[in-house]
Amino acid sequence: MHNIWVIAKKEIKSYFVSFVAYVVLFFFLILGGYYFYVYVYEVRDAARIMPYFLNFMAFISFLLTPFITMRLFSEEKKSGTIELLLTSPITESEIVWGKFLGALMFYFIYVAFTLYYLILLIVYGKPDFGPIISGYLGFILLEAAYISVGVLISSTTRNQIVSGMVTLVVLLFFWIVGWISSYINNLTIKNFVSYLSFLTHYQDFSKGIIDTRHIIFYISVIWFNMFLTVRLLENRRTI
Amino acid sequence: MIEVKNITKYYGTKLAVDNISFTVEKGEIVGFLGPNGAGKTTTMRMITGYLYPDKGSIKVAGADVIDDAVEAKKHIGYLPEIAPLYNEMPVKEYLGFVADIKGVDKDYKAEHINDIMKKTGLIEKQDSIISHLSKGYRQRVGIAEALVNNPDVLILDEPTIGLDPNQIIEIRNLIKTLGKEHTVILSSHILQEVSAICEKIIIINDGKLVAIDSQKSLLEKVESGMRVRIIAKGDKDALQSTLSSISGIKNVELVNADDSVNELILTLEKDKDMRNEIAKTVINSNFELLELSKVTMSLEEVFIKLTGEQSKE
Repeated sequence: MHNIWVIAKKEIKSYFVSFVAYVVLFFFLILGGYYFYVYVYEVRDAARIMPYFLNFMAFISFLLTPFITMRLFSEEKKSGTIELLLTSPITESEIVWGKFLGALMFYFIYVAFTLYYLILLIVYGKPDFGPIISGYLGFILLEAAYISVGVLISSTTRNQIVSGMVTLVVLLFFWIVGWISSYINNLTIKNFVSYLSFLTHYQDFSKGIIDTRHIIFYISVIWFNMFLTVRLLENRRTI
Repeated sequence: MIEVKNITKYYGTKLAVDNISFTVEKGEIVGFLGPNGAGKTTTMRMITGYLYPDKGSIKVAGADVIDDAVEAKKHIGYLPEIAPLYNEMPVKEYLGFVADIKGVDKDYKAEHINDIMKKTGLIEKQDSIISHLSKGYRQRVGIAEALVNNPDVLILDEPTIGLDPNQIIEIRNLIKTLGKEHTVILSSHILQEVSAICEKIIIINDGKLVAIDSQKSLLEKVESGMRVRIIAKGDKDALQSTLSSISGIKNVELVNADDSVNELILTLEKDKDMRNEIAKTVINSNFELLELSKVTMSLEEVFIKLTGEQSKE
């Protein structure tokens, strides 16, 4: 546990050393702020604004994810520092979980900024806390699943741009796979494909329903991706 | 301290390391010598557990580097060919991170890092960002990284590559002092370096172990007979024929002739020391003897001889 924390701490620090973190945060906060303003004007019901807003945040988060995860392993591979990590007395899974946690914690900083809108709603209206709490939970699980995909892809290449682009394409696939499923006639395949959609599992959360099946889905996705990443790092017969 | 048993490593179909075995005892400084691409880095990477061998096993301080990886790695300090540095970090912070992943005790960490920075001459650079440092200082940070956690075994892959001559001497001296407390394996394709630092030498070529011995006995083994260099004044042809007539001299070679000052290398028959006889003969034949000395074979010649013999096979 200690080693995971050491790696996570290093990751968070390095986000703020590069200007990318600031640019990305700036861009997404501007976008979030603008949509919050739009929802306030369109919906005009304090109880329902936040779920709408969280839906939007869930949407743009998948665009944000590649920026967070692309460097995680790619940069270490390129600069050779992976050699330091893999020859230190820590296990591969500690490295992988540390990186995952670091990326997720960076994402929490972004999520923390959105709490500002919640405070505004509490001050000026009466928001419905049920869907807000479940919405945040779903939203964080969704993002954690996105990040796990990014971690896996980043461990396969030493090129950050490739890592980021492939992550974006893969996440896009899991995003639109729900829409694709509506064109499939075979019911078994249709259900399976729609089950794969990251979005389908998020929808209940935004309605205020916390269903363990969806929680299990996201946790399985995260666990599976972490498992594969650890395996890739352990397979060192060829590098 | 290190036991390498029959390790073999392929990259695809290319054989990189071919059935190498050796042991390194505690406190030895061992030089890994071979031309570029001989398999030095691959072997070192396998000892550190970064690469797994296809066949064979490696134990460091009694722990298997694959099955008991965490335990084995606790005993190893490794400087890869390219120092694994986080460029955006200041030196002290970087070493702090390395100390954390190597499990250095918290109470002892600050003091330990300070000690290492003193040893490697990094004290005045401790707050500099690594990417702003010169190549020499970066290499020192790399060595400092390998020293964190006081490992029993230090593995240094081409530690002086890319440094200027002054820096090379500094780093060599540093490694020599480190050799007093640690077992050191260092690789190099530069012979002078290995002969300057190491007691024991492992020569590999084409993935195969060519020789493993102390520097002295390696030289003795290869050297066929004593060689004597003389500089004498006089007619060069007469000098040559005079020297050739001495029995026990296998070969006379004129290396340099300038204004009747001649330099010659004489090869004697095995186990014979005839320096006194040569000097007397030269003087008695009315040549002016200016210099006479024993030529020791350089490691370079040993190397060429050994690797050359191997490729002839």
